[in-house]
Amino acid sequence: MPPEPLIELDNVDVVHENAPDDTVVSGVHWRIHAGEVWVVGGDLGSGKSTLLTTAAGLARAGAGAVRIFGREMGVATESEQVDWRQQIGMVYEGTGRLLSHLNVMQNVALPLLYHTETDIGEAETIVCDALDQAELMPYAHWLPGRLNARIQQRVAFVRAMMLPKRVLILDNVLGSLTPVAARWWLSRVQQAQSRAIAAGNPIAVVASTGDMRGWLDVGTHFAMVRDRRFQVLNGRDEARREGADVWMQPDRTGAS
Amino acid sequence: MIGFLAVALGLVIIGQTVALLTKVGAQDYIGTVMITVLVRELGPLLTAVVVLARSGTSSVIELGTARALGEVESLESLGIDPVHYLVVPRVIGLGLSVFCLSTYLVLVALVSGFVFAFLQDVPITLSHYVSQLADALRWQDFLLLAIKTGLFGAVIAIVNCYHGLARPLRIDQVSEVTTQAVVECLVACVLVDAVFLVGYIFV
Repeated sequence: MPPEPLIELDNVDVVHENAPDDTVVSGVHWRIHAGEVWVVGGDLGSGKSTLLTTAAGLARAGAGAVRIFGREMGVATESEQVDWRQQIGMVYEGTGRLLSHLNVMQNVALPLLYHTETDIGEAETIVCDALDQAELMPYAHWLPGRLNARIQQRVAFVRAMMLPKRVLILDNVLGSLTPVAARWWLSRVQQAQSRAIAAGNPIAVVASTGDMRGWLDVGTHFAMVRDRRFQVLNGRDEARREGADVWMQPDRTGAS
Repeated sequence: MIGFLAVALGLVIIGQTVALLTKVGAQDYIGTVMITVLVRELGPLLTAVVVLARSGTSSVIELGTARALGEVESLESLGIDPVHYLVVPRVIGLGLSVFCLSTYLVLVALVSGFVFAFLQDVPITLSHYVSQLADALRWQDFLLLAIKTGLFGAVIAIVNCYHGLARPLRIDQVSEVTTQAVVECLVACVLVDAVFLVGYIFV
């Protein structure tokens, strides 16, 4: 019997948050299992971020069924949704959406202090350790506004990993990073995977990107969002071709 | 800010009222006038307006900006209820602060009013002034002051949180919702005040 998917989208129409009638991606069939690393490619504005938000259970689907950890989103109670969210780590595109009135340490400590009985002293030790491992300790007392977007996104990753996760969603974290900066993310994802496997609970990772090439070595499954459709690619070779094709295609975003 | 306003209120309004009442021989009504003007009406309302100007506006800007930058969705993604994390502390905090600051304003205004009257050589002794105030005060005044000021704070917080959080915002809409929130807070506070006015009639 095949393992139950952690996240399952069954004929889902992904709709724009502010305009429920505006379907961004339609008819999505997608199953995400533990241990998989999904890389979702697509042009700027193709709907990758909205698709990821819907898959994370943070946005309602226009049609179809979204099942998270085996439970359908439409019938899940508020407490079940809160429980899911603690198990799904989300790192948003751009600045990672840190809380601007809290410093780096407070941002990272927030989920720990809110959801667990950890006292402040213990939380400080855990957070310092996590920041140190992520090479972010020098920024511990900085407000997010003082940090550049790349560092803010790294802090958002550390914050997302403060509680044990079953799914990690990374929205275009490689962006326009240099290969050296991209390596930070790839090594962190691999570390998170290794730790989870060692603990006996492999996590699923979903990463969106405009350029698949950065994820080719880490990804195990690949998909594209284009022309409002979600298309699963046939392995790494097709993803490599898609990644190469991006550089050959005319600009469809309207940017010069 | 509240201290300055309280002293000004005491000097300009209370001191003059005391002087005027004494001139027309109505000094026995000083306590009643003080309690009606300060404790029941002007003190709570003025404090609410100051708190709205000082903290309410910054609160709606902070929340609106957080909404526009996606920080609220970020909280939700961490499994943190934005109402529990952002709204509840504001409602409790503003309710308590309007109550405490109103009490402070009333006390300082009463003292500064007497000081002004004393400087104007109004023939009233401190003990007479205090006994008049004590006679005019009833236990219902303390209770209604607490409820009214708590409600002012809660109303300011709820209206601000509603405008800052209830719908998706763009960053350029923050100034617009701030203006709306301030106007609606003022109207809401005046309406609450009017309801209490009716209540005072029956006390």
